Amino acid sequence: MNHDLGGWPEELKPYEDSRRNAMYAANVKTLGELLHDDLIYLHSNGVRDGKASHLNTIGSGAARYVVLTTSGVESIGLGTDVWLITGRLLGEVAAKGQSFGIDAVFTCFWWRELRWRMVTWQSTPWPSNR
Amino acid sequence: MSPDEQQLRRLEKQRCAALTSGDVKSLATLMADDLVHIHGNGRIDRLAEYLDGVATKYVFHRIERGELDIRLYSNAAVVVGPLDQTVEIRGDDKRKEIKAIVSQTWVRKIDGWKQNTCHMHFLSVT
Repeated sequence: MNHDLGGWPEELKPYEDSRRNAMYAANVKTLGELLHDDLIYLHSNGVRDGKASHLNTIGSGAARYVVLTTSGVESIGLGTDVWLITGRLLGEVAAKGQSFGIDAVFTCFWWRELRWRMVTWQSTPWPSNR
Repeated sequence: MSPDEQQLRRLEKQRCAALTSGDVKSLATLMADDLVHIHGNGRIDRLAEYLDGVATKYVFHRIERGELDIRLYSNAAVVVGPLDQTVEIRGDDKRKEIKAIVSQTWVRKIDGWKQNTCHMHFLSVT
């Protein structure tokens, strides 16, 4: 594990670590195993992706994530099979020949059905007046 | 449409009605104690802050939801869909027309479904 996953549930840490590493490496096979088929991925620019389009974005290199870190993470357990995670996301992504910084508030929803998979992701730019 | 899905649609209508009528008491009955509400500007409110904001800061003149995508996972539900609203901040007489995409999670408690997160992302503000 190579990410500081403070605040994340212990049982989710290996999955979230793998998800980020798969995004850096554009490893869509591993990433696909960590994402639910129903995935709804709402980007901080308002674009909505499903699983196929999200994997295509990563696999094609249209977006290449270089670093993703989280802080101020709060985890809310809903029963034994659902985790809601919220916090701040800082990172960097390369797209269309340019590098963009990421500073956002995120929420995500993980569900365990035999294994843990991420079902939703949403991020919104971190407020500039904080 | 499953009974749970029908119920969640009803509750979301109730939530919007409580916001437009400023009925904080009714709104509170729909919220989980550990609510996390993320406003479109990225501000994060917990339950007490959120209810206080509705009571003292915001005036919701109109809220309309578009087609809701509702999915059930164990005793939780994810609800994603567009939101179109006219809102005003008290003391600032400007009405803002907001279009947003919203994801919510609801959890089934002993006394019914409660909203646990609401994450709004502004698509346009005029």
